[in-house]
Amino acid sequence: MTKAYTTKTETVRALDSVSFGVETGGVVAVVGPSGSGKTTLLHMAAAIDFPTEGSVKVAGVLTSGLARDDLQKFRNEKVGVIFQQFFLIGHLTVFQNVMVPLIPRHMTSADKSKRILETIARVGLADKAERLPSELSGGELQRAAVARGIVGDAPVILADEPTGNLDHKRGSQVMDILVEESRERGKTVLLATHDVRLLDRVDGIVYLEDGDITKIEGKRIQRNGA
Amino acid sequence: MFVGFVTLVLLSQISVHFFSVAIPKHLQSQDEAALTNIQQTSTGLALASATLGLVFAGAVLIITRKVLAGDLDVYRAMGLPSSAAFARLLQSHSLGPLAWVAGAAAVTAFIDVDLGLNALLPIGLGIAFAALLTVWLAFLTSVSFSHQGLEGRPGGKAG
Repeated sequence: MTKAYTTKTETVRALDSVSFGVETGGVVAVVGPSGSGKTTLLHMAAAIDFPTEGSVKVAGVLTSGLARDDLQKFRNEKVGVIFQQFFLIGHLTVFQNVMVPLIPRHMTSADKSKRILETIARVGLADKAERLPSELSGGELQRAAVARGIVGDAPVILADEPTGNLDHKRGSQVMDILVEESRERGKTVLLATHDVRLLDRVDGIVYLEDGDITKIEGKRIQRNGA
Repeated sequence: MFVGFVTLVLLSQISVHFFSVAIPKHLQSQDEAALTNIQQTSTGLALASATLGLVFAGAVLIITRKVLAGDLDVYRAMGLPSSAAFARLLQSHSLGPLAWVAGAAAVTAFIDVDLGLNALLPIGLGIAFAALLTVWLAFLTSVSFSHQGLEGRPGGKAG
């Protein structure tokens, strides 16, 4: 797929004919310098953005051309997104932020609460559930964002620099959760990172530079897969 | 910011109306034509102030657009329908401001009635402010849900 942004003076190709596939249950890192297209790639996979050429297939669903309702369902049920800058809603508590993906779900309030509290406990924020984002440290914000990304039990987790704001110990804790999602729950995890310390914990690595794949290595990944 | 501004505008209506009563009382002349002229002028001032208030309230809303767009980005990315996102936006960003608008409009209207003046203007202005806020949130929701990428967050573009 290709993603191009057109300005008044030029066309910038944020992703240029990028093509690879990830096996279900794999943990794959997309590595590259700032501006290489990592975030764009994850946004395509999350159907937040769409390619200008080519297509994206995630969890068996082609994201291009989805009707509005199907697109919302895809975003809600097929992918869990962890954003680079947390993107927690400032006036909502941790509990309320983590609840957002469950709002459209047909679950009882009790079931939603139970799942939210379990997820918050998994990321180690059980005692911070009623705190606002402004009352949390950087590491706690990151873990709250992780909780929101995994609470929906989506088959694919997309994490943009999930350890980018954390020291090694806390980054390792977040990575433990993501790997656990893959190994114990069968989730496919695609994470964008420039943290080389994480790379020995992933199955495969896609190296991205200037919107192009320069190298692919490891398991559970194919260059021309679908 | 919106709440504070709207409250000030609504309360400013009191001063305009107050002068329409206070000035005539202190005039030596009790000429009916002069009194009517003063009251018409004050009503014109009140309307001008209200219009200016609405325009500036719109400007305040535009300034705060990024915050709301950021919330909408999250709701859209998490797969909420636009109606649910709008409802949550109304709940989180409107109930408080609308309560303030209603309160300020009620106080202004009460004082107007107490002075024997027409209370329809502050009530109408309160309704106009509420409508402005609601329509603005609906517009932002509509724009966000027809948008690609992330609009309202720093670092939301390609990286």
